[in-house]
Amino acid sequence: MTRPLEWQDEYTVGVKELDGQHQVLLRIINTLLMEGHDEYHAAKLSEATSSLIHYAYVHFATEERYLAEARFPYLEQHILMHVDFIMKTLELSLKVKEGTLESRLELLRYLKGWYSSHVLGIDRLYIPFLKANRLA
Amino acid sequence: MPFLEWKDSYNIGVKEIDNQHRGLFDIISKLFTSREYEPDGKYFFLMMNKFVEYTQVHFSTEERYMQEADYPKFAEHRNEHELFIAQLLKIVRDIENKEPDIEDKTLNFLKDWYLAHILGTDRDLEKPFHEKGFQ
Repeated sequence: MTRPLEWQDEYTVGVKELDGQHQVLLRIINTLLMEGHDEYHAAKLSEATSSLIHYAYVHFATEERYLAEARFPYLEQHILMHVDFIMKTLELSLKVKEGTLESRLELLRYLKGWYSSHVLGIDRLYIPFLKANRLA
Repeated sequence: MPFLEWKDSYNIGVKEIDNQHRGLFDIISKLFTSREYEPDGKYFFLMMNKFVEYTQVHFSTEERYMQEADYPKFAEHRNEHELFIAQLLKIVRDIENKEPDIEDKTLNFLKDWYLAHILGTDRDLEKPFHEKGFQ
């Protein structure tokens, strides 16, 4: 569960800027995964989650700009998934403040699962559209 | 600007309704927190849409219980619901039109509403629902 995620070359979406941001997200989530379990103070975890949310806003704005430019037909759904991520992470980070181990583990599980299913899954759907528009 | 701290005393003792009141509470908390992060307010609009949807679901649940309980102030209470939905739809339009300070105004409005309606008007449901054996 707390095993870190590892970046692989095949994770690339073909755009340097987006790959760079995906790697930063991975690094932030890894920091949380490695240090966010029981001995870690809830306050520090919530601080790290806060930087994750900040960075996610930056990244999502960049990615959505590329997708708009590529006329990605599922942009609207994709944006809603970003909103869901923000809402869920905010919710879990508010719970973490209550200080239970279960709340910390729930947050870590969610973030790890999200990275695999969203960044390494859903995001791959837009690659052909970036390529078709010569953005990738 | 902070929202409220959740207290179990906010519950009226009917599980489905209490869960939804907590759900509304959580979305408003998230809207408050998201203001600290979001640079341009785009997601605020989308989160508000979710809030409107969730509120509509909640109101229809609560109205079902009220009807089942022959709640004497049903019509009045439903009017408050309808008024709130109309106000929300206006807010969503104002957000779309990028009215100045709309986000902070919205947060103040939601907080006042939660205090006055969920923690005010809805308290009157506690006794009749309890007498009906709802839980």
